[in-house]
Amino acid sequence: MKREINLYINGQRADLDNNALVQMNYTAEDLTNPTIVKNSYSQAVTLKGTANNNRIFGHLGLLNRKTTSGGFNAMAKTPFEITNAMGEIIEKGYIKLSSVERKGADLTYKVNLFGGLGEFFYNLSYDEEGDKKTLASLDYGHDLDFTITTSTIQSAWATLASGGGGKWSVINFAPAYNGKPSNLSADKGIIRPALAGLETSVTVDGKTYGTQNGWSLVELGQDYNEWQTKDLRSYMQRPVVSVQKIIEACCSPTNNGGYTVFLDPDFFNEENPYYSGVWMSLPILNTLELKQSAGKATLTTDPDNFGASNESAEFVPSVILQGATATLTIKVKPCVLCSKKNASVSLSGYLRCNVRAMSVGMDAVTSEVRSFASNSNDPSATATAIGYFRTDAHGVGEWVGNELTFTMANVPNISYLFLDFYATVEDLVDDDGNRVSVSGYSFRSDGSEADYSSFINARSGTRITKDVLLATEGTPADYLVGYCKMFGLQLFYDKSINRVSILTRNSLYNGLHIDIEDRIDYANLKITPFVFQNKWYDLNVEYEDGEFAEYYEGIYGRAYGLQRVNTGYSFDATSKKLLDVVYKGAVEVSERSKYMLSIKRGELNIPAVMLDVGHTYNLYSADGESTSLDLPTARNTDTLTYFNDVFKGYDFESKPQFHGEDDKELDGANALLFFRGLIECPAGFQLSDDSAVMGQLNDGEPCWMLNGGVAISEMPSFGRYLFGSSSFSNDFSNDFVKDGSSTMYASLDMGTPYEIDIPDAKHPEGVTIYDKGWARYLADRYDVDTKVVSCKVDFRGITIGAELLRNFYYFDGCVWVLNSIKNYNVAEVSPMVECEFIKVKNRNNYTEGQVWQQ
Amino acid sequence: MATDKAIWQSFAGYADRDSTFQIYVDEVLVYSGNAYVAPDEDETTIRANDIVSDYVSAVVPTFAGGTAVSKNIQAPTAKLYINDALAESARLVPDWSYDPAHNIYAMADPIDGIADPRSIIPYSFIAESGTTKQPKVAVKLADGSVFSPTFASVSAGTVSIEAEDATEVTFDDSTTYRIESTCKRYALYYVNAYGGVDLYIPKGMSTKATSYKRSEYLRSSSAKYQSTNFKTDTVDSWSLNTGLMTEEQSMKMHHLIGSNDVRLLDMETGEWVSVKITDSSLTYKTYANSGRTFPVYTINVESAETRERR
Repeated sequence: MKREINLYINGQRADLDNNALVQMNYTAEDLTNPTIVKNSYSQAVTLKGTANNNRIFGHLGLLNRKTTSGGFNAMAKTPFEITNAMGEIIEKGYIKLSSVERKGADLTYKVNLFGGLGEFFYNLSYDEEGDKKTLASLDYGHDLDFTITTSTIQSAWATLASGGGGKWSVINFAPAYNGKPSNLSADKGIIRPALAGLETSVTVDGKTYGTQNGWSLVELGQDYNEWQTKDLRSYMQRPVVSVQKIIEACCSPTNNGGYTVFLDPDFFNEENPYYSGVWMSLPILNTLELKQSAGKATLTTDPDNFGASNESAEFVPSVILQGATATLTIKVKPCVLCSKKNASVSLSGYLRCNVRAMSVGMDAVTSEVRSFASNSNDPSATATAIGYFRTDAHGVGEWVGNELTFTMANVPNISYLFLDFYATVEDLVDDDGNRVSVSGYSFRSDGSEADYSSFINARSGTRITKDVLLATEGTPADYLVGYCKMFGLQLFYDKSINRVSILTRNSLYNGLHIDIEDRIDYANLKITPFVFQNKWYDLNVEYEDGEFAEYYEGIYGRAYGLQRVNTGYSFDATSKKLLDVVYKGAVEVSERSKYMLSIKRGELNIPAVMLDVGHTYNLYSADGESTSLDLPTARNTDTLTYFNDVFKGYDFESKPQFHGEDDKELDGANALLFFRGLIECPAGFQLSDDSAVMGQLNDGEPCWMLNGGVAISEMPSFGRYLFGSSSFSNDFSNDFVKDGSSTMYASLDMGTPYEIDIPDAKHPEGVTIYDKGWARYLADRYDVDTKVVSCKVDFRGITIGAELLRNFYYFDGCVWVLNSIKNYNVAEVSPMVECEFIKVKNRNNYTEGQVWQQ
Repeated sequence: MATDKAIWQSFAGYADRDSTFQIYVDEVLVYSGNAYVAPDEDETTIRANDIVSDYVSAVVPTFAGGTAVSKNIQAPTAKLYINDALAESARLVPDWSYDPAHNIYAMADPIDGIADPRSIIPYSFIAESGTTKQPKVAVKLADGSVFSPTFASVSAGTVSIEAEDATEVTFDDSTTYRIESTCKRYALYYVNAYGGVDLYIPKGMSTKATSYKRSEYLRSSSAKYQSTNFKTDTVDSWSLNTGLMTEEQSMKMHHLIGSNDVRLLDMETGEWVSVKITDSSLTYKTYANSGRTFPVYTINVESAETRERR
């Protein structure tokens, strides 16, 4: 007997063959890679070409079919539901039509059904037009646009201090070792001489030189970075985004296509630093080429209006950009009106197209002339496209071939663009070689749109939009899945209520213990030892080539933060990388240099760069002349206070390192960082913006501001480790972070490094992600006594579905977990289901194997 | 006005080089395509029967008892446009007889026109396109009186009449069922080749059989293993003999043997069963080729549903 099931495709009931195999597979884990997120799926379902099915698939097997609106689109994901006789949803998700077989007039459709988890991730990966989503595509409940200035940074940091909401609870700025900036004169600086104990006026050869409104330009003898100059420029503070907010946004039905997401409170709570305390680094603003897209501009054409020798079209950008240049891309097809009807008209010569962008009443500001030919006899014509015209019953011929693409870069900012498409046809001939007279020219753009966009670099005062800041390479799904992979969280889909659950392994295995001793078919039981294909399993994310990361790899021959698991496989010594995630690693270090101190001369803060010789500073005369003076070094009467009194020369707080060995900045994006609260910073640190004085004194280029900025006494601390007491609080108004202890209690590294470059830090066992989330589970699995048993099980009276994967089972004197259900035919009432079990040595390794909070 | 056509008849148009075409069923666009002319031809035929046949159907209705009209016949109007010009338009009737001489409006064609008082008499009809029809029936009762139930006026459908007190039921196209107490157990209702629903009561001996398919597994039980039969699938089948037939009745057997939709009525229990005809061939028997006896057929049917016992 077949179970009554109904398959609905796109809301229409399909005819299921009585013998159709609707086989579902449920898998908990890929045994060769425990970090892969699995989706339930079916093998191919074959649907016969009945009247209903033919209608659903729009007779797709007939080859002269032309897709019309409302027909079946094999390229799109089409939703399906399988219900039982009681109307309960057994499975839902989307289908993919893989092939259609045609025997005479009989059609057979082969489709694959994919479970709902795939649809959930698809919604987080692509928008309705099939374009890839980024983190900018999510709605975070706040307007995230801002103008980057020192006051912006101050507001953001003040929100961190108070624990307030708003945009700064979603995005913020992390002090980090970013290296020497590329878009700033790192060997120049402006200074207020009066505030650094310098001469403010000198007379040379009877001419008096002074400051420029109190400022002077310092020619530094070398490049410096922001921690050496203590000048934290607003746009050089590394933006970070709250991972908690990313996850919350992914869980919002408005962002994920209507799914409810249940977050396991054992992990997703305010006390867990791995959730509520984690932020992700973004590219630093001054390295971004900010694409200020003006949207699309539509080319308006009238293909039926044929001009005598050429035809024009208007092109109006939707937004006018100020102070920027644009790249214009336009696609068109030329058309001719000729005497030959219903025929092919070939080019024996060549065709010239001229595209000009111009303002109204002005000459063309840019122009592109190109030639196209089929079999050019003119050696001067360069054939960049091949084609011919096909004329209709009225003699209107459209270019047969690809659209002609014109790209014009650096189109200046003009208020109105006018495109002149100029076509000259020479030597058009018909199939018999007879010349064809042409009476008009036109072109068709087929509604084509032109991209009109521009790029600028962020500076002080630049408006940064969410689209620019969060234009990540990865999709929201990449970030959500990557997070789950790293922390060993399991995704579980409940199709009946359209709910996705993200569970710890502790919660996934709900502790139910089912005795199936009498339900196993012992007539056919296959036992395989749990054997791997590699000696080592590597759990780690990628690290950029930061200075200490490179040093570490050179010394120890392995990546920083790597956790290597010995699988016990002794047939070779290869390693397999398990984690493939969008997140990157970062090394937290405490950098050491002679500039890590404060220099005071009375009340004056003396810039630390004045420890070096060879700098000069300029003073200016009233008639625009300048004179150069040596910048004196710090005096031996100045008071020097080391940031770190015990380990002199080290920084006052360790930070993530985002620069290479040569102090060059790295991309530094996608690294997870703990927020550790606000910390007091030594004297002399300041926030600054680009100023008009820099432009005036340094040929329009921004440079360091050595003093005179907005003094700061505290700044947020972001890093890869949490030190101090073992209780975490998200109440940022309290000084929770450091209690004076330098012992680590949480780390964002997968494994324990052999060496950390923070002089006073202690790294005990049990603080890494591996220790907290993976160690006990993998130790239970990767064992010589682990066995995999494949057999058939009588599941009478038990609903078969992914829910079964969450239980423990007992048979043959052992406890097992169900790893997969294979080829379960939902259309057949057969209780014997093929299953794969993994032997469990200690249940607690599953139900208590993850400890994120202490 | 659209013309009426049997679905097997050509529904086609002619197109010249590189034409586009669209097919509408009841004014809904169901297909659009491109037609190409073979290199050595000047035109091509666009035959749309494969597509429109998915929208034409007739099935045995669920007889609810009493007198009723069931609209179980789908005969939509199809249109074929070639290069945006209407090339063919017709209402398509689910007549799969491939008989050019047949009048498509006469859908009923019972094999012997004999019904049982325990049976329900079906009669299918279709009105000319654009019109509706109110079937007229004369039900002659045992006391000699004639009863004429009235029906709603529809374009196509199947009428059902309880045969209980009648002796003869005559429809307006002279289709007649004579009511006899056959003492037989089974009656077959089927969609005939013309798209109508007919009734036939086999007059010969009938047998019912059941086949069993068992499933088992080896179970662990107190350190021993025992084989357990956990499921048995059963399928009922019937072998129905027609009894002696005339040559005229014999020639109509193709309606039943070739039918896609057959239901069996157990007239003793009132149970309806969807069945499949399992015979794969039909030899037309006559008095001459049957050894100078009247033709007799055996009809083998099987329940469409498998039953399960656990």
